[in-house]
Amino acid sequence: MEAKSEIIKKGIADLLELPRDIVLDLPKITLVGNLQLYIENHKGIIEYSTGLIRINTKSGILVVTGSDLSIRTIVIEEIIVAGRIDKVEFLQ
Amino acid sequence: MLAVRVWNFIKGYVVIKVEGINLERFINLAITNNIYFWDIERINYTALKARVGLKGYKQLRRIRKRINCRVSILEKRGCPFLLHRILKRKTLVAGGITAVIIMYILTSFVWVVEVQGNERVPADRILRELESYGLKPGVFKPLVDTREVETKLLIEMDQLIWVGINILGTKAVVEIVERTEPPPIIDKSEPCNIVAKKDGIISNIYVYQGKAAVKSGDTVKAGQVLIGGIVEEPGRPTRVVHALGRVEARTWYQLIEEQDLRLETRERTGRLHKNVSLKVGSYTVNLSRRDCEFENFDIQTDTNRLVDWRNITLPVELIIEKYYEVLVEERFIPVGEAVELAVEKARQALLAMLPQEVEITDTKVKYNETEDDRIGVEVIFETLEDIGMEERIDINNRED
Repeated sequence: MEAKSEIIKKGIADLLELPRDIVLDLPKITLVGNLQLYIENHKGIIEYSTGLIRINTKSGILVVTGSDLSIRTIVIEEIIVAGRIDKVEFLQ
Repeated sequence: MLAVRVWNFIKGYVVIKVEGINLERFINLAITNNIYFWDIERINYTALKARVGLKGYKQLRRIRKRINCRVSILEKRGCPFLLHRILKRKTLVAGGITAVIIMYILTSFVWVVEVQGNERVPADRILRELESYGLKPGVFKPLVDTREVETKLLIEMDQLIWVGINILGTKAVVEIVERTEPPPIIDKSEPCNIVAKKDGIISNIYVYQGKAAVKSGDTVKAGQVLIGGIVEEPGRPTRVVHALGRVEARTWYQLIEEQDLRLETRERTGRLHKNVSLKVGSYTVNLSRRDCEFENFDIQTDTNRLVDWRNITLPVELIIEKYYEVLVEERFIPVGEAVELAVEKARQALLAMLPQEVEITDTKVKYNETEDDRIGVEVIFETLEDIGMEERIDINNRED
């Protein structure tokens, strides 16, 4: 059932040309050079250390690796990660 | 971001250290409880540092109970803490408040009274008058009713036709406009003579009342009686009247002008060089790199003071000199042209001196060339003007 509703949502989003991150509740990730990473629409933080941050999202777990990582801001909608970012990847 | 930082500083925040296992859960719980964290840094595996607002810090207690962790404050920052620290120093606070109160009290007095616009009436006199109405240095501002003082001053001093008092800060600026005195008019019922204002040769004399003392063609000196107010006729008692009449006389004015035969024309080429210098006290520092390289120029100097606050001027000035390049052309003019120029100059000077109704009837010009290409021009203007002036006859004096 859930899979079906997702398909319908996706169809509507395509049809009306609505931004997918809003309709499908997907994360929107903005990377500023390798210095800053904005993640909107996250689902909580799983692991945080200076070298690795794992963040839960609708699209899977987002893994950020780098050095001197710090969390600039964290609110219910948004996380801002600062530091030297080497790698951003999704784990399904 | 700066605005957010400033806001956080105003609201106050604490730097906390959280120790425990599974601190990610702590963060997740905090954000779902709407506690705002920022600048989270991992110290080591079991500890992290974060910043949280004061309200958020209080709410943290609930989470602390649910998760096994320890929260300690490392630093307290922001206005509320600063204020708290300052307020502890009671003497300092009292001193600050006293200073403000003293400043306020001092600014509610008039400290300087300045008179502007007086030319003939001495400022001292006006200040003395103002003082008697209560406007003087050291007076409490609310006690001075400027409108009332204005009115009183106007009534008291006939020489003034307008008075405006503005209190600007601690300075009272008194602007005045002086009356231009009309010539004294002698009442028609009072006896008077008509005397000559200046030397001249009478050309026409019309007597309406009184007795003509001179006739047309006479040479008169300044002060000489032209129409007498004392009429003595044989067989009749002597009458004393108010002499009336018009006495036209030829008068002469001699003016000497010098005129250069070399006429210089200066024309700006449009090129401009600016020289900026800073003057501190008696030291001048030139801020421009290049010097002016024009051969001929006009200089315009603007001096900018930093502030002109009350009577205090800072000894710092920014001086901007503008050098306008000019093209100087020199040419010789014929003597005739030079004389004409000089006469015109003299005529302008004369007209500025004389009342309007005077008519220039003749112009005589003498000139001589002096050395170094100059001529001296002597211009004699013959004019026709009314030289009559009323002068009161002091009867008591005469009878003595």
